[in-house]
Amino acid sequence: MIQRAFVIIRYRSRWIIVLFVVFLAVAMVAALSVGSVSLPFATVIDVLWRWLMGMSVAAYPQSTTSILLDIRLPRVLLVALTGAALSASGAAYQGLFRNPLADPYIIGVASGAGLGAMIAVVAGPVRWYGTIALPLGAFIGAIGVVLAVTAIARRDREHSTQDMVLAGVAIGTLASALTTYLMIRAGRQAGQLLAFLLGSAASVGWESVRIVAGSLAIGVVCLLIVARDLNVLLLSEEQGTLLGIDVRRVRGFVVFGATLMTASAVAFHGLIGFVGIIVPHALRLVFGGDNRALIPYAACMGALFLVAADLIARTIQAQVEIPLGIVTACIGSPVFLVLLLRRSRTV
Amino acid sequence: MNTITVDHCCVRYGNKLVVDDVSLHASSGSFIAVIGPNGAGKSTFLRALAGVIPLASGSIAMNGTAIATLTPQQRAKHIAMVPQQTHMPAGFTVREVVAMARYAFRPWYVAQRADDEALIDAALHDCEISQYADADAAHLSGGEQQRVAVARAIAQQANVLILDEPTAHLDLHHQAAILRIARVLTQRGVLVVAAMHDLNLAAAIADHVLLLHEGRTIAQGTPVEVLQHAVLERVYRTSLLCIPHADASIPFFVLAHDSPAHAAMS
Repeated sequence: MIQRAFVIIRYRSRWIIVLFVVFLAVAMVAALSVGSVSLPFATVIDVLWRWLMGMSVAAYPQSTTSILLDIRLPRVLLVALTGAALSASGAAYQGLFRNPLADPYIIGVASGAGLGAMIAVVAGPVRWYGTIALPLGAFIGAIGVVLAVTAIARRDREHSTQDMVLAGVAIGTLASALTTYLMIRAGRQAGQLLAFLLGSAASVGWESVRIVAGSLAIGVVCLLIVARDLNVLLLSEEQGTLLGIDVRRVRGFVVFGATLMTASAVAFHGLIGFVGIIVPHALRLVFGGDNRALIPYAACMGALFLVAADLIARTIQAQVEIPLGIVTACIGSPVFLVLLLRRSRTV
Repeated sequence: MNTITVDHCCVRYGNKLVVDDVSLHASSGSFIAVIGPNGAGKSTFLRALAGVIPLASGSIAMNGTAIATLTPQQRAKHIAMVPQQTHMPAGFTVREVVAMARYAFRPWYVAQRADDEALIDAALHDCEISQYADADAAHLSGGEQQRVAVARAIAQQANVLILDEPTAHLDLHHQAAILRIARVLTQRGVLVVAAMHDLNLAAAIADHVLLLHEGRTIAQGTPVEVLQHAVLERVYRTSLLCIPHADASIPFFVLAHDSPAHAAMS
């Protein structure tokens, strides 16, 4: 019965993306209206509409427009972009490594990006070159980890997927340990850096939004170019070659696109686990494994998931903002287990 | 007329020579059976023929062009292969898996056309899996998955079809069905090269047999020329009986009473 429902949903799935976008818009308006100062939905929508159309917002108090456009909007957009980036890159890594566990967090890419970003903060590049040094440091850290993990996994092709996860866990743990060491050495900065590591979006600006949005756009285009060929690599690399796929090209596009997205998301939002594993996995169970649909769905659903998680993080406890990573883990783990058990029953 | 020429082909895995100085010439419309005991180098030879592993020395050419110089996309239009182990990814229907055969023929931004769909339908029908077209390929049995892999190779519309033990997971009905399809393809001008363990099936279907042992060619020629009682007993290291077959032109082998396998059963 459930499988039949899945089949029906799957064949209507072209329309699902519209639903995702509508839900995402509703969640973002809710996130914009909730906070220490509550704003009515109608006000939020009207101010946003006027701002988008280039019309004057002088009819509203400056405090309202400032809270909405300078504080909450960049934050909510950054959260949505981060969710989209982590989720789409998770879907792509899972396809490339043929492993459902291969999300940016598990294979150590996010930890590598965190270490790179932390070095950029602590060692000086951010002071010398400004905000752009943060995603660049994260990208260098992330690409270093993904290349190391890939090299280790390819040494023994027969066990490459297991080796990849184990190597990712080992290298990711090492990167996390080095990050923690740098944080301890940072002294008074430590609290701020810890909040960054746990995924806090408390202080963000439009520059961060622009950088993450640019990385997301480049990354998603890279992934969509090779999404169809990534389907064939799920059979095996050899089968991919036999079916006319240029495996090196696909690998290059995925590693660059997914790592760029992960690095920029981690650089401005810290380490957020589970988004890159739960969202693509849940979508795959419902809509099938075709990466041409899965990657854009994962981007939309990841954005929706993280905006909802951020809303919870900001409202569940008065006066205290819980780091996003804690909320995603608390929501993600049970949802993931329910989906896994349901699938076991229907197989 | 398409021809494939293997000239003194050698393949190494590390220091081990797995295929040693094998040569073969075949042209379209024929069925080549590659036989030999386990570890003879059959699968490695077929993978080299498909162009997915490099040669240590020698050459493999199709219509005079070395296959090593072709891009994967060009090669996929000429050579299709069904591997020994088939893996079906979760979350893909049988139709979606078979449709992967047509990817090499269209750029990534172009959707499949009606003629692609027709080829996919025909391949599903030929392999008797049309009824599973919308089922999750990963949930099928081993034999059904094998037929999906064969259907995918057929939908590729290549001039050369390489089958690595195509009947390994199939019951008698589907063994006959797959071999019938292979025969029909040869009549349409496709060159079929198949690694086979069943000597009697090989004798019944092949035009040309290549017998390998420890990577080397022991014999090649027509089934009657290659399937010699003494040679097979030596290569397979077991006693065999050659018994009369209804079709007197082909040999038929069974294990002899004094073979180790027979002794274990009695």
